[in-house]
Amino acid sequence: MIRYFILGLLFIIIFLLSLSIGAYYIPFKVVLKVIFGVCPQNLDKTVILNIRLPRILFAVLVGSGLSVAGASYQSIFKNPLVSPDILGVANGAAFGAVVAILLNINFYGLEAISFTFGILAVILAFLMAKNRINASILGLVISGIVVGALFTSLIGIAKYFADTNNQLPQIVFWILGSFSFVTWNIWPTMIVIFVCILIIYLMRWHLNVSSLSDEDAIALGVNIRLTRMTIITLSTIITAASVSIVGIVGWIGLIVPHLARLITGSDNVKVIPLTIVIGGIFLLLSDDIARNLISGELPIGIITSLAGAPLFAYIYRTRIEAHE
Amino acid sequence: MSRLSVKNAYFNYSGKPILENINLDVYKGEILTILGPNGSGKTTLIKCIVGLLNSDRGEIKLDGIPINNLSIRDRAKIISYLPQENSLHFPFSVFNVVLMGRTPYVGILKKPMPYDIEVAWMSIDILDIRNLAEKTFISLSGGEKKLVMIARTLAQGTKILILDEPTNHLDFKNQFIILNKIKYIAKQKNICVVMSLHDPNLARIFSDKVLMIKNGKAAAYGMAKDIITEKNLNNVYDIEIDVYQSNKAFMAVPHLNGNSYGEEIDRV
Amino acid sequence: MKRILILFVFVFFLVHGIAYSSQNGQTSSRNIKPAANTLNTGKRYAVLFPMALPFLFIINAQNGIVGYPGFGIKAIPYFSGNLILEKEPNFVKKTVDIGYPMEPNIEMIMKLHPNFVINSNFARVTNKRIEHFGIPVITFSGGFGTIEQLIKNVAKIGIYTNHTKQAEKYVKYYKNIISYVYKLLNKTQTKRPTVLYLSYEGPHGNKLTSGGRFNTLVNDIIQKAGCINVSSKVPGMFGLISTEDIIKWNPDYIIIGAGGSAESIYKNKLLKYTNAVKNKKVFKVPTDGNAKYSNWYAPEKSSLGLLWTAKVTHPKVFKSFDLRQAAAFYYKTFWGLDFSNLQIKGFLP
Repeated sequence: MIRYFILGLLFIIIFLLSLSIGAYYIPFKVVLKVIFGVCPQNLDKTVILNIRLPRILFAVLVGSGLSVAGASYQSIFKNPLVSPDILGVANGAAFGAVVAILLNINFYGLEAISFTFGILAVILAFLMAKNRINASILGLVISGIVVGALFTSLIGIAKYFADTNNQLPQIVFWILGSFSFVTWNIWPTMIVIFVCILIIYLMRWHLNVSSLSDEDAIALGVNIRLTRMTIITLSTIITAASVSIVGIVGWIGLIVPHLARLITGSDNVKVIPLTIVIGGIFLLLSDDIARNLISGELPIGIITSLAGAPLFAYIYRTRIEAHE
Repeated sequence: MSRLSVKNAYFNYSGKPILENINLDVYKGEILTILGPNGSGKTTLIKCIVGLLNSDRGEIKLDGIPINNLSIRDRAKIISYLPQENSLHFPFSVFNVVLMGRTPYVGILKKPMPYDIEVAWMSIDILDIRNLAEKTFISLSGGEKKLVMIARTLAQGTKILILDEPTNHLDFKNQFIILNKIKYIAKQKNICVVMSLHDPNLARIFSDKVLMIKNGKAAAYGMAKDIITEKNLNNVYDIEIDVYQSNKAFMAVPHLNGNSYGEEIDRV
Repeated sequence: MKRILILFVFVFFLVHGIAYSSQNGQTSSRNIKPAANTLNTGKRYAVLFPMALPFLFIINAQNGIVGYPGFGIKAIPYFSGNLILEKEPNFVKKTVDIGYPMEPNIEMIMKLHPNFVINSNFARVTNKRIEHFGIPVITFSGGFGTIEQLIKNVAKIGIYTNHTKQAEKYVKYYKNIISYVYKLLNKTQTKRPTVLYLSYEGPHGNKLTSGGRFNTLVNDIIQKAGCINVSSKVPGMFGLISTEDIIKWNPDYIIIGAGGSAESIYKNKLLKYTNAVKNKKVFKVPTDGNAKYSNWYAPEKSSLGLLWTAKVTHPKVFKSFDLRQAAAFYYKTFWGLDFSNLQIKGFLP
């Protein structure tokens, strides 16, 4: 219980600090004033409420969403090394966005096309798997890898045709990911991601059973196909929705669930809430670094992988030692 | 009325018949053991009974209700199943594994209620494994793992318990401990048990009824004492078997003296 | 079987070793690596750097171009492709596509037997690879350097291509412009306004700026035009910035290179407190056609970009200066085109 309290407190402190740091200097006092609604309408308030708040909220949502998608994927694919883009959704969504950039389509169009391609990638993976071993886990994972590779190469081709001066840097930055253009305009996406996280949170007990073999789960009264489809759909929506706005944010969906399991064990009833909180904090901190480290913006994907890879190595070692 | 009845069950796998005309009836508190060599169709029959496979012809009824009329969830409230191999990929604690038995009673968007947790603890107590409850499942020994899995099936609160080779991978002592527990549960809780075994001696000691299968067909069916005989064993396992029997003990062993099997062993 | 396998492996390595050593011997005996001080002038040259290509037309050296950066798809030249095709309508058809700065088609370059290749100064590894095959590489700064570097490089190309006269003419023209702007700005000691150059104001809400930390041409243009480049600490040619950065820098002028328009910046409610938006000082750099990159901040037109920036940001100082006339002179002298025939888009004071 104390653990949750500390994490909650940590989250609130980081949230407030994130609101107060940024390129444009705002004293912490003013941040508190804005939060308590006693600040007159001025530039400080605009920066906090209309630039930093949506960005921070979305960073938290994407962090939680990708982490929870990773945790649930790891359960239903019965493999702790699985990440949310195992079925090619991230690459599909990235390709959609690249196409939209090439065609100079506006922001909403980009989001829609990117989201659609993300979903399409997963459907493609399913169709490929279905023809083989009746959508078994292994078949799905293999066809997911194939679909991911296909879209990666398509992105490569698209890059080739891109205008090197305007579109290519856009594409490169977009794929590396950034929260720099998050505004309140994307509130529908925020709600979608929030709802998906909520449903997975509620399903967290059944995730435990879904990590058993299909036969075992069916014997325990679980319609495993339906459960698996639901989880895959929700995770796909979360990943596609986040990728369609901030680009590919790697590693987080892989590491955070491990971090949560390191703290609390394997029971998803505890792992999922912890994953949500840690994922939010992790990506929020990463984004704070991305927007404050240099003049201008660092791609978020670089920071999550830079922080993620060594962290993962550490977690892996600790877990091996714990087992020995 | 029988708790579990199988009538004229047939099962084909890509045109090849695996089960042909299987019949059995199990009443409450009864233990039925399925005996037969590897590949004779024991596991297929068990999967048909549990509902993991659909029999092509014939009827499987649980409490008089055809199994196909039940939803997956309702079926799991009547029949629990212990697979040959456990399938845990994550280091769950023993308590969590037992609690998973309550899944049929937990809604898809809910987590187990306090009542479910109580039932899980009760099952743990029945099997006397409270000392293991906090350990991770994968760190346990084979015998302990089986006990935990039995506790899980018990927590499922079903009237029928199906076990696929519960003595698999167990040592001499643990085989007895596990089967003793199963017998205890069956008699105490009036649960009907269907299991498959490889050792006719254990089958004779612990079961009421026996079904012998050979090449997917029922070779013999009836009370354990009447069925486990030298003649039936010879027929089913296709080797000569000697039966030593006294008032206290029963033992069937393959015939070794002077026949080809013994010679082969010498040569190796 | 095992013995045969071992023999095979041994023979393989033997043959490989002989081949390798003989190859090494060859390259060392050939060793045509260009010394920096010896001149390798010639009549055939391949251009790998899109930013350098227009300059060969400016100094009238286009007839010697045997290969051009077509990006493997025979693309219309990215920089001022419209002007190039006006001057040489068959250019794309008759010239061989040799890839692009980082990924040249080296076999094709070898086949063309050029006297030298012109490539970007940042493609160091590629340049080494090309020189390894005995073809000298002449580097060109383009957008990745100061104006002085650019002028020097044009003069260098003039010498190598034997078009010294025309190149000197361009160098002189550009130097005159620099000193003209410098003199006028120094005559009237005005405060230097802050400028943000958005190289791309995308429809996706993201903004790329051309920073100045590695000395970009844009940075130099802004500074030579008497302004302060607010994004001078953002690394690289294209740095991603957020709305908050713009609010912090609070530039007096926002200049849009490509992508969106002044209207899209005015519409952005988050930017309404910045000086540029408050005073309606957001301008789009003029472009002269449909080429992928044809605005006045492109290296070959940076002289006009410099004049335009100076006039836009110092309207009083450059009040009497006629930008249209200067543009007309540029297009007539170096491209033989009438300014009135060009479709100029963007803000033209």
